[in-house]
Amino acid sequence: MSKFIFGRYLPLNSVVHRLDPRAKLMLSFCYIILVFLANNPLSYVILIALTVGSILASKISLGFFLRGIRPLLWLIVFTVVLQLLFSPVGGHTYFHWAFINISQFGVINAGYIFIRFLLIIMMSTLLTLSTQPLDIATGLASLMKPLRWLHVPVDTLAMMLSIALRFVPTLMDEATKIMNAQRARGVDFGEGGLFKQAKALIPLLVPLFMSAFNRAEDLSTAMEARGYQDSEHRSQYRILTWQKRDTVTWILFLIGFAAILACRRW
Amino acid sequence: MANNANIIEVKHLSYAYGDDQRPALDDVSFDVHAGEWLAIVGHNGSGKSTLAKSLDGLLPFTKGTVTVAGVTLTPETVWEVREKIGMIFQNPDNQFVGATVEDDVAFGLENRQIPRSEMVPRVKAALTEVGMAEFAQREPSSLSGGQKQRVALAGIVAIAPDILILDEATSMLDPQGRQDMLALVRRLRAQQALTVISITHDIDEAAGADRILVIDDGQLIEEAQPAAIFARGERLIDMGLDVPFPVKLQTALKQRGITPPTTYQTMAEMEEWLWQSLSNT
Amino acid sequence: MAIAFEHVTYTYQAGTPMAHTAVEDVSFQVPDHGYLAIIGHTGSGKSTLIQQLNALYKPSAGTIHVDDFTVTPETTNAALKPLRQHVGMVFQFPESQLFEETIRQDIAFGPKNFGMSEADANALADEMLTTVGLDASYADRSPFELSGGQMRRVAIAGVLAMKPQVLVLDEPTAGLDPQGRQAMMELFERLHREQGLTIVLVTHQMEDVAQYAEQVAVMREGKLIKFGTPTDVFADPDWLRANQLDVPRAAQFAQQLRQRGLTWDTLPLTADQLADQIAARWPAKGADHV
Repeated sequence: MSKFIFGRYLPLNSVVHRLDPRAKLMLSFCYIILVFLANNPLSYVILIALTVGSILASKISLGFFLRGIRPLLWLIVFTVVLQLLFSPVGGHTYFHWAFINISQFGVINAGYIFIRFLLIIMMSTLLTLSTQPLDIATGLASLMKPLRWLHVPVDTLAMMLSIALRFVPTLMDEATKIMNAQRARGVDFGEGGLFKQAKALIPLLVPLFMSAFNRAEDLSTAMEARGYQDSEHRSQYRILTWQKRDTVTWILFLIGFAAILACRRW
Repeated sequence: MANNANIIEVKHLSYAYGDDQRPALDDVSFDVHAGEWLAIVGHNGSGKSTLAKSLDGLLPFTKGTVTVAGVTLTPETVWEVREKIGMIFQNPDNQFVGATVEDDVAFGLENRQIPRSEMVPRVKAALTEVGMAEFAQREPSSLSGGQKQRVALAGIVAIAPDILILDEATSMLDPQGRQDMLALVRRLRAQQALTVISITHDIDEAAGADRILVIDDGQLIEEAQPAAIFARGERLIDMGLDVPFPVKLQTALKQRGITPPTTYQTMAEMEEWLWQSLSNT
Repeated sequence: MAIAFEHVTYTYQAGTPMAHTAVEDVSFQVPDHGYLAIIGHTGSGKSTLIQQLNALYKPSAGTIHVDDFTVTPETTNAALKPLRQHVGMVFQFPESQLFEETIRQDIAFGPKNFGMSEADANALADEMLTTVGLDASYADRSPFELSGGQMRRVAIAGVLAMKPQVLVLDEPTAGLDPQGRQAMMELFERLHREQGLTIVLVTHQMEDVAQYAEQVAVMREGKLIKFGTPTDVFADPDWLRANQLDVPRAAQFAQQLRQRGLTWDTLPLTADQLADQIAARWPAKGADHV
């Protein structure tokens, strides 16, 4: 479990870490669209080059990275196998039995899906590994600001997200503590049948919810005492500043994106 | 010693939680003098935290009036009153709003719509004041309880209110954290004209106060200076306080047939008396 | 011997970049029916150390003996369950572990997990409720209706209901008022004296250490830096202060008088010990007032 790195943050000091979270979020978004537009070997080579280049620039070791996403590999392999077995007939058929059909078309398709999945997971893992959750939240809030015109409570959502992120470690500690306390009272977590395991969760979940509610009540009192009325009428301490490195990164990626569009099979 | 002007006046305050028959506060009246350190003591469940929250308009009391710096507390004036009061609560985790130390200190400033150019130096100065400047970027999960309470104090320093209410703010800290926190509040009070109201069980915190109010069962049962309260000896336990060491020693000596001269002695007085008595032999 | 640690080490997340050694090469022994206090600054490894007593954390190296049980890094999880019953663990703010609908059910939860019948466990629950000083009429109420102090008593009753021989207490009086604190410490003292429970107490309250403990372990940065009787450990107040630990008030006071020239046979740790020594050398009664 501790080797599983998807969604975690790894504090390092690299250009990628220092990029504006808005730049990273938007680039990741465009990148994902491009992954789906790429459709021939050359376009994938460019995508892979962009991905590996980004990982190298983040100073995160490639080995650590690949080991970290290995648990997700099963999910990818599962999808690919489905694709392989049930894709429509096309090209040369290698194997056919009942509704199972492995064709040349299916193999190529499955190969693309595998690479697409892998690239998207690698890039989004790089995003979370190199960006603090709080910065992602701030970046998202900043990018969503135009939605205010549609009366979306962007500031309130951003505040909720920030508080939720702030309390994740606190509640994780609390969960460990309660789990240990119940183990000390003879509960075996993760043993026995499914029903027994689900039942063992009650002594963990009830106290955890009670604690979360109590904390929420305390927190709202404290926020009110500190002058919090609503999220709209506040100034902002944490601001994001677009740097030269963000522009440079964008230019590099745009060149890559343009190359992909130019060489894809239209 | 204390200034005579009253910064807070409480008259006939009553409050009952939900459908509770017994009031949590029952006809409580008292004044707080500007610049004084007032300790409010009482055992758990006596109503002292309810009282503290009522002063800040955090609980809508049913009867009575609260006036803070000339402003009578009503639903319309509640934000004006909260401008004048900074509050620190018991649980260090549950009042830490910001994702990092500096974000948390800035929280109160953001609520007051202070422009960022002004916020940055005020956050920095407040953190320096409480000795947490080097922790500015840290997340709360990497701080001790005492450090989190110091950050809470920095959040109040940044706002610079007239009144500081400590609602059992040191009760979840280890002895070191507690001493640091109290020393810090004392220093801030010496620098700024700060009125301090501390709700506490801690004998050292109460001993440093100018005046002590004792609350029991929602009622104000006693109002006196620390020395007069500490002279109650073993009965202090019923008031939600510990028995000070000199009183414990006096009791133990009396049991052994040795009678001390006065009712209450400080550590220093006790030491002097014992030294005189024992060194003469 | 109730408890023996032999070169015990515990490392969190061993083998990852986040590895952190919380307990390092700790050895000590507690005799049968002993009363050990563990003191040390926040983060000194006290909490990890005590959670090894019932193998919530198995040692990374070394051996732990608790009465007839032996825990090594190789011990299987199945072998640990009887140990969990033998060592009752009261965590910090134990009221946060309550979850059942009624107080009786919550107290009976532990015994039932260890195989006791529902009827026996319920009867035991009612008995334990009175042991911790709550009225038996509370049994059918929800634990969440109680005050914080009462909830803590229910949680402790839930641990005592497992009939442990060793009771581990992690800052059991934190957040209570002095009255509640005193009542709580007297409860543990009674269990120790009358039922012969071996007590392991983690605390910041030096007055409690001076008054109740028979042995004291001082932890710092995962290492055991001092172990002995309270008199041994508190003998050097300067050393304690250098390690950011408090000194009992009586010892502080006695030290002040010593600086003025009074000598003590042994450094008194409580008001009673101090009063005894003062009384012993007090000028004959009435003589100084003649």
